[in-house]
Amino acid sequence: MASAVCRTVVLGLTFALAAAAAAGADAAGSATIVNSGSTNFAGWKIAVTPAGAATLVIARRGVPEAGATPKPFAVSAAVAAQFFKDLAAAKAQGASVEPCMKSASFGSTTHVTWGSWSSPDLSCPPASDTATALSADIDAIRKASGLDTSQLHRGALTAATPAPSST
Amino acid sequence: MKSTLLRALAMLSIASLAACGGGSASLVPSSGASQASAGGSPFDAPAGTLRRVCANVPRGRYHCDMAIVAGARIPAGAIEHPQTAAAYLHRPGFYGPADLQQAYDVVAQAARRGAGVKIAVVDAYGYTQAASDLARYRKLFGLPACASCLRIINEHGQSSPLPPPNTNPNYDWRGEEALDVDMVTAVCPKCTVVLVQAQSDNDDDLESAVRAAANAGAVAISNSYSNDEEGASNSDYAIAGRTIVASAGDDGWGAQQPCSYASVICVGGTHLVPDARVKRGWDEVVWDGLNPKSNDCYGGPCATGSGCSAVVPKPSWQQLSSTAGCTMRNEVDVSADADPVTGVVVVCTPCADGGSPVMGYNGGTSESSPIVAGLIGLAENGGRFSPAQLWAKRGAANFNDVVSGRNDYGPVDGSCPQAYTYICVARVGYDGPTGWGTPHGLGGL
Repeated sequence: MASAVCRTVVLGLTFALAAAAAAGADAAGSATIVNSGSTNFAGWKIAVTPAGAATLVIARRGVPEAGATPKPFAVSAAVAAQFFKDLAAAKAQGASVEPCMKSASFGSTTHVTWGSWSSPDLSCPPASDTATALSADIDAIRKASGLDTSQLHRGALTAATPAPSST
Repeated sequence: MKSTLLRALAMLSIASLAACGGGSASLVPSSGASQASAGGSPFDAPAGTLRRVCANVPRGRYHCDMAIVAGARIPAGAIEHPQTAAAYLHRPGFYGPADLQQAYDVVAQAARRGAGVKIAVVDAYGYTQAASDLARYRKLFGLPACASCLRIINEHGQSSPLPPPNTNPNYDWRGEEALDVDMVTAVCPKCTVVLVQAQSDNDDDLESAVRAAANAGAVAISNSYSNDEEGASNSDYAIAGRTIVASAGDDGWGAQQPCSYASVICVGGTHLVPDARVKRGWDEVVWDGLNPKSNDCYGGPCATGSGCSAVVPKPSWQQLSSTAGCTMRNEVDVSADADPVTGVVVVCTPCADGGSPVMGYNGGTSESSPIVAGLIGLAENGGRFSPAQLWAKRGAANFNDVVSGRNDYGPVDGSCPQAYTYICVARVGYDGPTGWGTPHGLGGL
């Protein structure tokens, strides 16, 4: 019984947090990281506030699948602080990356949007300290989200699998 | 103010979690398993529901009964068990060597040709399990084991040191490498696949890898990658005695390179299905996943590339009335299966991260390019095959004309040029998305 109450309280707080984070996604101060995904892997979208409240949703080109619900998670204060410090530096100084080829069907792009500023494609090798720092921050945030990229493949047989009933 | 509110909510939420005996995996995903416990894969529909993959398909497309059963889970390795494999293999999304050889009418040739022929696939970064995954793929589909099926070299042509894998998901090419290797061996089982691993995905490293492939003796070199057009020509993709093949890309209409170089055989993509009503036994339409009704790419846009180059002049062999309107290089020359919904099985251990490495529904023009490169190897033309020769061999005797579908849906590139809609809309004869069609035997190659 106590467990059920706890679950209800946590759920309520979590959804309030997610709603607040989502509401603030476009406000100054919050940042959004979008991985486009590819033909063979879905992408993802993470919204982060300076306080470390964040949400993750599976998305392609930033557009969540119909019915997808953002999952809230927390980014440590240190990671959040570093991320927004690096964002400010990138916004001021730019964040250049090297042009790179993309695998036609497995390659993706990764961009950060912060207010009116958008990064270049951070999935290409960084050509500046600011891009290097932002890439490291994004990696840390993605790990904090618990995103299991192996589950993003459409054919991963350990995940939901089509039952080929007939031709 | 908003920040303060969020901070307070976050702290309250985390405190509540702790008070309740620790974090709940169902609320804060920390692994794939916890995601599953929160409702399964990100693609799961609500438990117990059935989601059709290809409902309401237009005429000419695959009329299937395939559906995703939410929550249905196949134990790792089940697809390799003889009794359960039959339920999965040889169906759209789970095609293997026999399916591709039948579809492109090379069954007899694949059984006896290709020995000693080297076909290269150019990729970036390392893939430690490449050899064992290829062996598992061949075993799965009943191809004989062989020691000479795969050779791996770096961009300098050396077998050591090979570049390390890049495990950052933003840079991970191992799925691409697995698909490339598996497709070549699928259509040319006796060929040797030369996997060239560039040090990185920048232009210079990949171009070095193409040269290394040529120096290694590969007669056909597949490049399943692309970027915006940069120049009218590139000597690294125009090597005498070598046939360079590339993917048209998966983003619909809009030319990309290296595919649009006039020295490169540019490969588009189709949606390939069995069709007992036609003599061939197979039918193909344009891979048009940009159609919002399609579920090809998780509800998002993706489709075969095509285009009229902005920088490559029109080659003399393209000066035909059928290519009027586009005054530059018509990008796509030929095509093959690419729609993931009608895609292929690939074995890729690092892609699965501990789960079954045998995965269906792989596709994209990353599939069609190595298929065509493998078929060129099977033709045993010694690398003396060019886009001009392919155009000279156009016609129903050598190519399956793809006459239905288009690739200009959605928000990616806007509408097709009205002056030459064939660049995005299939028709009889040449069209942008599929070129002259798909290989019908080896006569066109």
